[in-house]
Amino acid sequence: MSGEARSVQTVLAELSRLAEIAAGILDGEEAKRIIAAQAMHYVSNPDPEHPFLSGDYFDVDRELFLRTKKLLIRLERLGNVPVNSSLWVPIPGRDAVTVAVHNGVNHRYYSFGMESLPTPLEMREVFASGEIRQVLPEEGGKGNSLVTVLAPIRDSLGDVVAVVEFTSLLQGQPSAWN
Amino acid sequence: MGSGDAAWRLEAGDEWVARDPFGQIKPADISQQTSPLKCDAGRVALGAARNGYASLRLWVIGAGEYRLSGEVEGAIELDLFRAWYHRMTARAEEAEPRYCVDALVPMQMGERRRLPEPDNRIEGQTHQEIWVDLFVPAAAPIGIAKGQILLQVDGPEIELALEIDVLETIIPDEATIVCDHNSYGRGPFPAMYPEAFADCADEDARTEMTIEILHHYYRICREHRGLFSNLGAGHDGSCNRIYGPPLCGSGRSRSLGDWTWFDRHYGPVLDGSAFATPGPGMPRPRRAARPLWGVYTPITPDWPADYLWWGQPGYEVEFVRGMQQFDAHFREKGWVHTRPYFFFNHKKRYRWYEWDGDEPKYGEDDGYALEMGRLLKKGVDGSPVPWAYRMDASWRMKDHFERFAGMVDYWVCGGFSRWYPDEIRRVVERGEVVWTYSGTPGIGQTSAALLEHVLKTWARGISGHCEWLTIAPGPDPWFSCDGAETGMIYPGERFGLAGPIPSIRLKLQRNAVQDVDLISARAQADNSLNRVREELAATANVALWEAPPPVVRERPPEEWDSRNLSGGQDENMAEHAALDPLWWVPMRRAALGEEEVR
Repeated sequence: MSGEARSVQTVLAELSRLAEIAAGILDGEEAKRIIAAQAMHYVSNPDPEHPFLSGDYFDVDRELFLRTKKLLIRLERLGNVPVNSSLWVPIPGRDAVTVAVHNGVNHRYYSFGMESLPTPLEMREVFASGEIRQVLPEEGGKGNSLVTVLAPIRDSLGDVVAVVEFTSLLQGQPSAWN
Repeated sequence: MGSGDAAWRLEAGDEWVARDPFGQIKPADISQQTSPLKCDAGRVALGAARNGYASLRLWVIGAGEYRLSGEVEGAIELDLFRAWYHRMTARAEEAEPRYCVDALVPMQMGERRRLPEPDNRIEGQTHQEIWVDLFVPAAAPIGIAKGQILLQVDGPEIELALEIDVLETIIPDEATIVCDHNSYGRGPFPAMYPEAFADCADEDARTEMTIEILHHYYRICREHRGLFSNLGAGHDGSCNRIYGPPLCGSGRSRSLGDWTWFDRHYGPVLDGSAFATPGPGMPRPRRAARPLWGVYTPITPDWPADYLWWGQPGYEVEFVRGMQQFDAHFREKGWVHTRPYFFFNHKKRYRWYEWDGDEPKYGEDDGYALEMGRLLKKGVDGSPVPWAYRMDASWRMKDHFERFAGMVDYWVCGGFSRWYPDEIRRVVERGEVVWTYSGTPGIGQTSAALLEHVLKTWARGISGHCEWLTIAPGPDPWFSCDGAETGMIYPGERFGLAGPIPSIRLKLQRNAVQDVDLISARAQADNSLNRVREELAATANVALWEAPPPVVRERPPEEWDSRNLSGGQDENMAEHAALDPLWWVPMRRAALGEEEVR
């Protein structure tokens, strides 16, 4: 479909299909533990005088990260539209989220180097409702050609502890890095 | 120091001291020493080695229209550049704007200009700084070559006589150290060259334009005795077609696809043909057209193998096949003089991969680097292509020098390298390449501040220094300049040039590299290189090495951070430079044989 305009409804339907699968097979218990506890502490408690501390200490559970990354890659490739995905997790003690794992360059919310993001309204809805949420292209701004569907990821208690973002570019080929 | 009548004047000065558009010396350039440039009664004299450049600054002083031209006998070529006065971003306490020179706009001989310079928009400007480059060919006759700079105004012509003492000394063709000008991807160019890209009708045309502009950056760096490096592989593992051919198939059928755009991009810089022609508006190339010293490749955890298979047999099959095909393409093209870098730039903090390719800090990541090294060897062992396994090392360089010995052979080290003189000496003795990296002093700093890394690189006995970003001088470097610490090479489009223009920092760096090339060649000839390095560093009062702080001695690298180290690993020379503006003068004298180092 590269180079051709894709209808919003077609893309939303496909991303929703992927979101349903993701909600069913991703393990929230693993998602919670991808970012190392020490790393999350510094993401959660930024020191204004030492802005690089969270980068200094950023680390992950390699096995969980890799397993989740591979699962997201497989989900992306199930789709019949070009799509990238990100796994977002809440930052403890703050109304904010951070990416635990992602693939590719098409992202609605992430910008390069982002450590944290105030939880977007639609993502907050997913955490609260546990429902899949479609996000339409926005007028102007970064999201003007992006279609997104968010999937809730539950832990063993049934709580939504992470959100997977599936984002597709409406027109043209997904741009390679830079 | 001047020449001329009461209304118009022409003044000359050495290359290290800048003035503002009203004739005041830049505060950071006020020296306690006497300028070495010999100027009197309308005459300037300077010595110059052959096969290289000598430089000086001129100031056209007056008001109204003027033309400037110059020539020198004896095959010496003279280039004129108009210095741009960057209006610095205002500080709260400043009542008047500050201006610093840096970007250099090439001038045609006799070009009609005005003072105040309308282009620069400085009310009441009285001085226009001009950078003069004198290229002395290797075959230039030894002895005094005479010339002049002519200032034509509405009135009598003003002449500044030049006397170039052409020395027998010849600057070596290739530099002793590599001054690397790093950059990232193709993304910045459309914004830097909007007019050039406006005419591009489609993606192919935009790609062609990107390649053309990139070639100009490669050219300007080579002509200034440096290296341009442009990393195309992203943290996410992808790259554009100009940086790597598309990947086809999977598993046993994995292959590299169409090389057309890659070859168009890299072919001319890998065979050296790109360097036979100048960039837009630039003087003809004076350096021989030769292949690049080294070049980034598109290799990432996701190129040429699919990371989906990491840890499984398919990854090895795809990676090795891809490496073999990449290597075969280089051999078929005869690109066997440039080091392709086997290099991983990704950082886990950006969340695409679970390990750090760049500046690894955690021991658990070592296994990934070792495995990648094994795959590289399996793919290209025995190839005539001079592959270099590059590691940008910081936190754990001391451990990595030993752990990766025999595998990594090209180290680009952060500022922590200053703690490890013995370890680095051993790596150099193993025959491996060691560079350092840092930021670049901004244009408000002492003009000669950025030469500190030239001396440190050479005097430490390593062979290169990477300035991590040198082509991005900011959104408006002309009228709201933040210091341009990430851009000593400027886009030339506002001056009608679809390519980069140089800067005073770039010229100073080139001249300093020439100096260490001369000093080094002479010292090697009489087997005194180590002694000369130490003595010149001591003369300049530049500390080459430091004792590590307590946390480094007492705790493992995993526990170091920017708080307990009181700083980052990026050794920005600007923070260290407390050097006199004329601190380089003894180096220049040593280079020209005026002062023998004992």
